[in-house]
Amino acid sequence: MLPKILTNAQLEEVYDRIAEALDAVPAERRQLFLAKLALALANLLGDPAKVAQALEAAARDLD
Amino acid sequence: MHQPATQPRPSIFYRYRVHPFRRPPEMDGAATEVPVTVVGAGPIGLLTALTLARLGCRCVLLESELQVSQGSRAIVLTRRSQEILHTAGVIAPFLAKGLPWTHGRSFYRGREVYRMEMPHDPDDRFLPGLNIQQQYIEEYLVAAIAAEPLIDLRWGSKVVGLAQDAAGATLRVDTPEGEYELRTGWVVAADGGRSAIRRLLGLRMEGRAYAGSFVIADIRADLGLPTERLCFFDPDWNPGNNVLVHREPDGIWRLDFRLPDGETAEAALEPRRLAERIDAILAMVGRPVPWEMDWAAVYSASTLTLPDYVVGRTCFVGDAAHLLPIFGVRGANTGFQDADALAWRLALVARGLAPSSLLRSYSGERVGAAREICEEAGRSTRFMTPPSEGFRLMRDAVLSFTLSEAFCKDLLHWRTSRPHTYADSPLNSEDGGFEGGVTPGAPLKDVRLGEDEHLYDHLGRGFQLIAFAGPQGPDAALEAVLRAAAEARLPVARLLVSPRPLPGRAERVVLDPEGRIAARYAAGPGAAYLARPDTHVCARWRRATPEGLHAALARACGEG
Repeated sequence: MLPKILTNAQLEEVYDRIAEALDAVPAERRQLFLAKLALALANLLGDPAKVAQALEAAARDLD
Repeated sequence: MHQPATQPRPSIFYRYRVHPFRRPPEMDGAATEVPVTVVGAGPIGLLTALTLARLGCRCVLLESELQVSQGSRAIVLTRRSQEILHTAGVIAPFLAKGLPWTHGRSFYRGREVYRMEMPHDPDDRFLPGLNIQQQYIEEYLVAAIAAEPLIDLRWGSKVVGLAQDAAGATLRVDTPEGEYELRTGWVVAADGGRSAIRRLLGLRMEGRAYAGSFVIADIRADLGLPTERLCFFDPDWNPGNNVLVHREPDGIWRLDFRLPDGETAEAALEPRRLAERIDAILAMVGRPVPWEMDWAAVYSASTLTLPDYVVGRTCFVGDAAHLLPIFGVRGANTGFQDADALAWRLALVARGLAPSSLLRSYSGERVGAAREICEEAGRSTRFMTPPSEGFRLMRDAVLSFTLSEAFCKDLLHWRTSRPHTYADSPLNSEDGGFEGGVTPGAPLKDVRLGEDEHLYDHLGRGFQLIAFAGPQGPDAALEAVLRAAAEARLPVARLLVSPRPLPGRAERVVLDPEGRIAARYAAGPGAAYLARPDTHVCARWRRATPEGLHAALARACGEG
């Protein structure tokens, strides 16, 4: 289970910001945008083990 | 000529009473002027009129129909609304009829992914939610008004014209027997989302409307489920949309679901299609039982508010002032707080006890509250009805995570309506160095005193002074403050909190042997709180003085 680090208010803020950023990108470029976002966040996180944890969580329940 | 329906509205659980239109004296040439006219006898107009009367202000209440609300509409009273009805002295029938509840459960892919616990303090008298149909809310308030000689409730009276001047307003009222003019000092527009008063004054609301439409349907069925809020995200029968289920009194259930994009209200309410969807919902909750339809309607979400709730001699309350998303039960519950915040001010102004500038702080406080709600409820609305592909992707990402992760589950809970704290109100005075307790602008906190006894039961009408005595009773300084309160120009109810019995006092004494009230209010001997008639604190002192009290009262009346 991923630890809860952001507060609910921060999470809501981030939710809106990413949603708006997604809307600003043309539909056919959203995958590329999300891949770049994941890479940038991984770099800011600075911990490959944590990135692996996030990858595992995100890969579940996709269908 | 106004022709309201004279047949009782149809319902399988509620027996409508058709009230007679009574010809008012103005139609026969009487030149009367009423201090306040409230337009609209929905829950908010009714409570406004009742609170005005409780504070000694006479009013006429105009209602265009001859009977209460069509359909059950607002069905959840928050704790704050229950407290407001309690201080208005009318809560008993609501508690006898309503269904109290404290939590909700949310489901996704057939699994319970979130349990919403609404905060409840053992010192609170009321549970966080009380489910009751709007017909009963209106019926009980109408009954209380019938016993109130200061209110003249006129059924079948529709406002068709409004002219304002510096001294008041003239309303043109259409009735089954023709039109008449009513001269009034002040108008309260409580005439709902499609307010005629708002239109007559040419006022526009600010904000946005959301595209998604929802159906609410009330059915009678024997589901055998407890009173809790059920929420289903993305069910198989309604992909991408959500369903809410609430229990109501009389074996009625409220089903609320979002329509597929682009579907019209007419198509959604087509009986066979609606019946199929209701069957699908009952199958989803595991109760495929027979049911009967009572009422259904389509709504959409908006976050809209007038920028000012006082326009000339007209004050706006409830849906006439703002249209808010119903997620988090913010319609009637926000309106009750409007009514509570306006009525005491208007009573003082209309009775000549306060300058009309006092009403400006009503607008400031409540427009501020509405804007905060728009911001907060806008988030819930964007989750429930994503306005774009970006928001839909984010919503789906959160739902997917809830099946295995906890960190973003709280996004499934829209914050529920709660009392607003008027921290920046110009009516607040200094906050004398307390550590904890109740800050100026916040509503008084309730305290449980016994099996069926709470602090709120002891509150009087008008301003409220709560003074804290030591073991020896009030000292000379506190006695002077209590005397000043008794002699004040404005009505101030006095409550003396004491650890020991104090026989023969003029004030109402509340025993606090274990110091529980003192602790909740962080108050030592000699301390005092001053609350406005709507029970919001406006000043407090660790060592109260008559001068401080006089200054705080003047400030709370808009004279500061």
